[in-house]
Amino acid sequence: MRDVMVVGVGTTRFAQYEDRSWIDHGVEAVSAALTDAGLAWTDMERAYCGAMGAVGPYAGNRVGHELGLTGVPIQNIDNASASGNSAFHSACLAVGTEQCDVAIGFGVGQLGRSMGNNMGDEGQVRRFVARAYGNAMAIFALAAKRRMHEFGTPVEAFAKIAEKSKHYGSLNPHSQIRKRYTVEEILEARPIADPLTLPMCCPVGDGGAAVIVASRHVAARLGAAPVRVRHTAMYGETFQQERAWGHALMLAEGARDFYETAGIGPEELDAVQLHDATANEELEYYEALGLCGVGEGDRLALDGETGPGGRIPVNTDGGLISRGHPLGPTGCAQIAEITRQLRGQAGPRQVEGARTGLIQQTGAGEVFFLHMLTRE
Amino acid sequence: MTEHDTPFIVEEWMGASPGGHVILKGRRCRHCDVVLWPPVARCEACGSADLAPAELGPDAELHSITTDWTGTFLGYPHLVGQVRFPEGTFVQGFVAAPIDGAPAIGAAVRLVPFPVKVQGTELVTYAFEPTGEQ
Repeated sequence: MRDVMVVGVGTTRFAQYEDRSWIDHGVEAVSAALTDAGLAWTDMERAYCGAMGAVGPYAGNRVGHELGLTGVPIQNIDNASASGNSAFHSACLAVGTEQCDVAIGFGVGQLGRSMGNNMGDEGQVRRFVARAYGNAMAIFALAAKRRMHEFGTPVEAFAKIAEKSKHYGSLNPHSQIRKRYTVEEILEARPIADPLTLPMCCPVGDGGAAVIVASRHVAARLGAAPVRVRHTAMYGETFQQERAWGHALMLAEGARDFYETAGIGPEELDAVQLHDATANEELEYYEALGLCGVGEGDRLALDGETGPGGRIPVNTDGGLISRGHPLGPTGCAQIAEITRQLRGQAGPRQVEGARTGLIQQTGAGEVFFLHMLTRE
Repeated sequence: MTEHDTPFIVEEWMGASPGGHVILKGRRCRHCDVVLWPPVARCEACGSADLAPAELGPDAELHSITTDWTGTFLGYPHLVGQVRFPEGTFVQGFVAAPIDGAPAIGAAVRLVPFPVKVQGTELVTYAFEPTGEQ
C-alpha cells in the first residue's frame, strides 16, 4: 500500500445544542477540514461518514446535500463509538490502494436525545431488562469493582484519571466540559454506578469531526505538514467468557499484532488517544496497549505519567469524558488531536516534540481500531 | 411460566426450578464444551452449530457488583451484579438485596424470580440472591 498523509482536520465543539442539528455539525467540521487542507468539497474523490443509526439513515448524504451535490460518492458507516474511525480507516484504504488521491472521513452524532429509549421493539427491550442492561455505565462499573477486588486498585486512581481529563479539557476550546475538578470533587460528585461518579463518565452531546487524507504527491503540492498514517488496522471481537473484561483482553491481543506490523512499539509513543467512556476503561487500556505492565496502570495514573509533562500523555484533548463522545465523530476528533499534536498546533496542551501518536477506539465492544500517525 | 403463572420476561431464556428458584436455558457446544447463555444458533467460541441444551444455575458465585444509582428500568437505585457459574459462564443481572446489604464479591448466590414491568406488563426475570455463604 502506498503512503497516506493527513492533510486536513476539522472539529466542532461537542456539547448539547438546542439550536443546531448534527447536520450543521457535519457541515462545520468538513468545512473546517477543507480550509485546513486548502481544498474544496469538489476535490474530494471519496467520502466516508461515520454515524450511529440513531441519527437517522444515510447521515453522510444528508451532510453532503448541504455541501453541494457535486458527485462526491459518500459511503455511510455505523460502528458505534468507532464509526468515525471506520470512516477514516476506509478513506486511508481508498488512497493507499490508489482508488483515489484524496478522500475524507468524517463523523456526526447526537448521543442521548436522538437515541432516547430507542432500544428497539418490545422483544429487544425485554432482552435488555432481563439482564439489567439499562445503564451502560453499570457495565464499566462492574469491571471497575472487579479490578479493585483483584488488584487492590484504589478509587483514587480512577479519580486521578478524571482529574487529568478535566485538566486537559479545560485547555481545549472544543471540549464539551471545560471545568476543572479536583480529585476530591470527583470522588464526592453525583454517583452513577459505584464506584463511578459523574465526572468519571463521558457526557452525552452532539458534534462533528473530519479528517482529509491524500497521497504523498498531493500532500506535497498542498504544502501540508508531513503527518503520515504509519499504520491503520481493524480488529474484531474474539470470544471472552468474562464480558466485563473482554474489551481489554481482545485489545491486548490486537495491539501486539499492530505494533509488530507498524514496526513501532509502545515505548516509542509520544501521545495516545484512547476510548475512555469511563475513567476505569482508560486505566484498563493503559495496560492493554502496553503503556505499562499488567497491574501497573494504577501507578501510572496516580503518578501523573499520562498527564501534562508525564511519560506518555493520554487523551490530551480531554478524551471522551471531557471533550465529549457523540459516537459518530469521536474517532475523527481523536485523529484530529493527534494530528495537531504532531504539527505542534495543540496550544497549551502541546506535548513537546511529539512525533509519534497512537489512536485506539472500541465500537460497542465488538470491533476496535488502531491508527498510528508519525511526523516526518 | 413461573410457579405463580407470571410469564418470564423471555420464556426461551429461563425456567422454574424446584425450591422456587430459576434456571437459565443455555447451550453447550459439543465441539469445544463451552456453555453459552443466552442461547445462540452457533457457538460464539468456535462457530460450531453442534449445540446441546444446557441449564445454568441456580447456584453461582458473585464476580462483581455495583449500585446503579440512575435506577434505569426499575425506577429506583438498585444493585446489579455479574456472576460466574460453575460451568465458567458469566451472566449479568439484578441482585435481590438491599443496597445497604449488598453481598461481597465472591459471595454465593442463587437465581430467584424477580418481578419487573415492561411497558406496563408484569413479568419475571431472574436475580441473584445471596445465600449467606462465601
